[in-house]
Amino acid sequence: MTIIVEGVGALGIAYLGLRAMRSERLRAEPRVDMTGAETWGPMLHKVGGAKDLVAWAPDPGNPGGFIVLANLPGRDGPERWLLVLDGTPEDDRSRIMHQLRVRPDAKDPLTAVAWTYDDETHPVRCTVNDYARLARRS
Amino acid sequence: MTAAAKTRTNTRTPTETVIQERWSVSPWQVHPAYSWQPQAQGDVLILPWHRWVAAERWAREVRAARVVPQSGVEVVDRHTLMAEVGPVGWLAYSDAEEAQTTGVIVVPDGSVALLGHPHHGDLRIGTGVYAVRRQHEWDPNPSITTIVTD
Repeated sequence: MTIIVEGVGALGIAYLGLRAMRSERLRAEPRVDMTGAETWGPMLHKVGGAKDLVAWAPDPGNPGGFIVLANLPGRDGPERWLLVLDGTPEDDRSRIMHQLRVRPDAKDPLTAVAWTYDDETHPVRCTVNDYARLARRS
Repeated sequence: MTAAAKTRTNTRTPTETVIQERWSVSPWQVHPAYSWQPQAQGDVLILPWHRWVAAERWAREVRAARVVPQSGVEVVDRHTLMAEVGPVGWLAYSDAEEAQTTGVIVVPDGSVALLGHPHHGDLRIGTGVYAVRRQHEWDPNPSITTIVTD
């Protein structure tokens, strides 16, 4: 009986320790600047709250649009995704959000989205500077 | 990674979630024809190709471009190129089906090209030479290129 109680106690302590470590890790992760978030608050709720967000940036050439880099649950653990707002509204004036999987070590939304348009087999590459100069997105 | 190393090409439609939001800019306003500037239409990016980048290939492909007919030409899945003002050139790459870059648009001085799509606003393209680029996603398997379509 004593062994069982001690075993349960040890498991409990281990659980609490792991939980504390997780909280510490979440606190240490960079937080997203929420400035201007009221215009795209619904999107943040879709990705499960700020703890899953890595960074965000306005989308060049897409007024009111933005690019969010977020960790979303995947089949083999968290995956890093880009969430982008369509440049063309629907008939009801809403806009569609698209999700694109990017490298797990991607840290900057603009660099990540530029990479999705890059083609290393062609002389014309798409760098973050090229994407930042986007005149228009529809 | 070279194109030959890619063993498979996947396509998928991105997960879509409708965001309710007030649209602050009229989607129907006529935009200017941007010259020598990148523009995006959904999953397609129009990237300026200046003559000093791979100059020999640039000259060869500009020469090889054919005038776009009045009915237009599909440059990527449902993205249609038309001439709005003056003649406009288009060169389709032979491996466009699998490649990320599907061809080259040539807009001479004074001409304006129009890129249309059923679900996206038109792009007006001013003077310049442009590579037409599709979007791709990262895949944990480096031999797979996942092309995004919308």
